[in-house]
Amino acid sequence: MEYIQISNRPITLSHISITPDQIFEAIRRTNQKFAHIGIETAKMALDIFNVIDFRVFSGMLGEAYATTLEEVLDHKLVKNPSIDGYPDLLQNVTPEMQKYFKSCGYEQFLDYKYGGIEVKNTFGTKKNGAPILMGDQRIGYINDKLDWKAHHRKTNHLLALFSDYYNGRPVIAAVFYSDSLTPDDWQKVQRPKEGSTMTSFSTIEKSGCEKLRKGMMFCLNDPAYLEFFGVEVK
Amino acid sequence: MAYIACCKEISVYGVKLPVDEIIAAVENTNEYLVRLNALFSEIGFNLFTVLGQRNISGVIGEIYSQFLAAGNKYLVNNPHPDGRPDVLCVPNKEVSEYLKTCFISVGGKRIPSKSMLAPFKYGGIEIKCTIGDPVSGYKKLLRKKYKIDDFYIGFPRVEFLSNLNWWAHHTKSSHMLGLYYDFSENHAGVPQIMAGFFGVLTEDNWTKVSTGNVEHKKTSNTSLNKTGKEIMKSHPVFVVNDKRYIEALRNIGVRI
Repeated sequence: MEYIQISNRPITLSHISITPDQIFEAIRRTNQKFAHIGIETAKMALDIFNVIDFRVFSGMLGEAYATTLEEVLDHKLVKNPSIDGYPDLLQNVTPEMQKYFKSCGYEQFLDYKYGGIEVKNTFGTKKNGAPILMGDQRIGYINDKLDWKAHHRKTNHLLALFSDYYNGRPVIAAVFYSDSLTPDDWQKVQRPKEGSTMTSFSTIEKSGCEKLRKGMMFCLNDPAYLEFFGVEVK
Repeated sequence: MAYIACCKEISVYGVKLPVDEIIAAVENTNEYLVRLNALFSEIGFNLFTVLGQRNISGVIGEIYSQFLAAGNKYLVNNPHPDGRPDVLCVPNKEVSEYLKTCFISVGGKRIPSKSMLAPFKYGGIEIKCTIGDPVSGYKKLLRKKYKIDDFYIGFPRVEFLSNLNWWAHHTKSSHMLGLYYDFSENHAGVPQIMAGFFGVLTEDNWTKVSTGNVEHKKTSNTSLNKTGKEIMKSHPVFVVNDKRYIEALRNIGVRI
């Protein structure tokens, strides 16, 4: 499985710069982890990836990537311990930051003062009536606009993942980054409908997608994906 | 783990389900959870921590549904991911033939039809899991006895059990197999199913559906009200043969 690197620009926060190589290493390791689990669970009576709710699974992939990136960066970014926290990965570079992190409680993690990056994953939204089931490759059957979702409209510094089933395995197919998202790049927060299994969420606007598309970092080297994202291979 | 059967069988929409089969599915689920935890640990990934308390119950329920349906030829897992109930009862040819019609053909593929499977008109079993409600003031007790501020994933909660409650996204769950699990001390904190209850419920046994608050990551949900909890607690199906759990369940009014 090969990837094309689209951008050479690192992700730069106030105290840390994340190189494309580090971003890619986290992609590689995350894919490897999921491949291993897929192979091993297939040996059991039940494939775990066919059991976990798709939305949960999509979130898990994002979580796994965030965990892996934390490892790759030697914990200079650490996962936000609060489920309601923002952002997902917190800057934890200087002794001062590390001391502050240890002193934080629920309220402080809601909007962490040293910031960091958000990591969100999507498998794309299935087109109406598309004949795909859990485990099927989705490219070609999803809407052109990728619907990354957040729980509020302040989400910025977004590392946005697009995943798909590739050769029967879940993989990260493309990675994007933008540090110029504003609340206007997010739709109004939606309350879940009665009976829905969704949480409250805001979906990214077309304008936000365009900003992320301009910040595309990696894409699977496969015509189906390159064409979907309009990447011209020289 | 050994289990004590509290009844001989349950009967749902024309399907008789011996308690031995229900327990066998529990054993398979528990073993699967232990193996799954080991597998994810190998790659430095704590599955249950990543899933979070919010999703663990749902995943256990899904796994259990698969094993339950695999063990009885008259049960079928609802083929639609958003279908209800979770496990379909297919007691005869009429239902079996109907189930075959619950798919549509799109682009040469057979896709489950949501309108025919949510709900499935011949019924089935809804599977729900709970770790139970803690006693009020449990945080104070935790700090005093264990020097921790709150429960964490992997920490057994049995000694803090105050009641059993099951949550759903709607009030339509009528024939419900309610499972109770806990993080098992004997299995490195992996969740294990400890007891099961079967209740026939109506919409009146559920609280009003809440659609959450835009500021919090909450889904649409409802849970059993007092009458619903009583129905479930009055109908245990099996319980783990472990004094701590039997006593804890008896203390909250389970008739074992």
